[in-house]
Amino acid sequence: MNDTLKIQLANYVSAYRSMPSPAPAERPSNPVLTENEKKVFMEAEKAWAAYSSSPEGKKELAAVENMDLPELRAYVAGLPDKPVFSKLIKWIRSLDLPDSSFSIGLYVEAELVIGFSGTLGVAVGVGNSAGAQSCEFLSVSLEVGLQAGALAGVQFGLWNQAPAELEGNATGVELDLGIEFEMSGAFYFNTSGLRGATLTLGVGVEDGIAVVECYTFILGDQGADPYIKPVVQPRKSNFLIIESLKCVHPSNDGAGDENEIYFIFQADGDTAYPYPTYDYFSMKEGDTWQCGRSVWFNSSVAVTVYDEDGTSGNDVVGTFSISLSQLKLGTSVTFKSTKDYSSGFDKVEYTINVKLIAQNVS
Amino acid sequence: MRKHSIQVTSIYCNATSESGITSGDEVYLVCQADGGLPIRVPGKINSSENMKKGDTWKLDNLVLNFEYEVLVTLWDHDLNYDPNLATYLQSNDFQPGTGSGSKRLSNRNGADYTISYTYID
Repeated sequence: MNDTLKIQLANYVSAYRSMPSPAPAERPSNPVLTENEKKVFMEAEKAWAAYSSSPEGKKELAAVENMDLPELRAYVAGLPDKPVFSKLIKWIRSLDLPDSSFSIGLYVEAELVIGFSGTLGVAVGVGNSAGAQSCEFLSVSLEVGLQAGALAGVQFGLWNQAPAELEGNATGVELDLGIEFEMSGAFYFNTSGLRGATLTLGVGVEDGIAVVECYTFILGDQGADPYIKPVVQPRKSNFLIIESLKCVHPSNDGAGDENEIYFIFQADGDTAYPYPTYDYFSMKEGDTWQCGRSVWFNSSVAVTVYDEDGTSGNDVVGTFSISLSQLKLGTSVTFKSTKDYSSGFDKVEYTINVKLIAQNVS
Repeated sequence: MRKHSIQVTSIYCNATSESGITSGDEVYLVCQADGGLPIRVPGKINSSENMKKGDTWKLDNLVLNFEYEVLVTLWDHDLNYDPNLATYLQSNDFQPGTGSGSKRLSNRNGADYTISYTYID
């Protein structure tokens, strides 16, 4: 798996880890698949075998290794439109099934301090929800001892919920699906009871999940301000700390003499990270916020400071451009805004203190 | 690559955030070493520490390992678990040679906490 995808997935894992644990759910007895459900999984396996061995499938799966999360999401979202899966879904919808969703997802494992796995998938309505809108989802779980960094397989699921209702916690338990080919089966439950069953191809039975806690995010149109804010940074050559931000003079935003400050930092033009990750820090004239925000970078870091204003959009109150050449290892350097945001009587001014703490890290 | 570690021993509440809907703050920590994957405390994806003025939250063996720095952020999640609605309280960045001691972290919304720590190596 490429590092970009790993970092992007890790941000979801991070969000998952900041959630409260769900109420304990009582494990239901192992479900027994209906004959139609077994047929669905067996036909799904055949469809995947046909697709993955086709020239188109081989080419696309080879490209998956280099995709970032938005690209992978777009690829997965397009799977139900491919003739082999389109035909499969049409057939599944003709069956009498107790389930409400059928999903196809790519299952990946990665390690970044801790091991985690993720399934990026698309769910379509079946059974009573055959007309429901499809949706894309990402399920993540924390695991130890993973064979990290690989596209581990493809996962098919049959779920009791309609596609749009798949979000939330669940516990997964290994399950013998009663199907005779190499795969790993599992069923999932939470406090609402049984959620569904999955079949994962490409992961040896001995690598099955045993018991795993996971969370499913429905991936909506998150636009430029995603619900899940990025926080995990890829390692680069140099490491600095934005030690502090000083309010020399606040912006007069019509709501008193206090600014609600947050900033966005962007190393080398890559991912833009907010800090604080959520919310803001209130500042008045003369205040210094010891923010201590570390940043990995190769050559430059751009920092934009905002005053959050809930009524009329957020105002930029400082723009900073930090280059490696301006820094000296272990020494604090004060930066002034590259642009003057004062206007009229409003002499807004912020400064930041930056210290380089590691250079040419291999 | 030399690893360092620091132990955060306790959080003392001098005053709670004004914005709290509930009685006191529902405090949790997010600790991010070297810009990597953060850990949440209390761990196990679970709850927070309800803190009122005068309360001490004793942390059970919270040892943070890092190479260059570890950023510890205090949050208050009140009633809603949506991270977008969490309230940032304050943060402190620990670096090698930080030493042992305590530091007072406050903000203009009334939150005032003292974080105590022991520098291990």
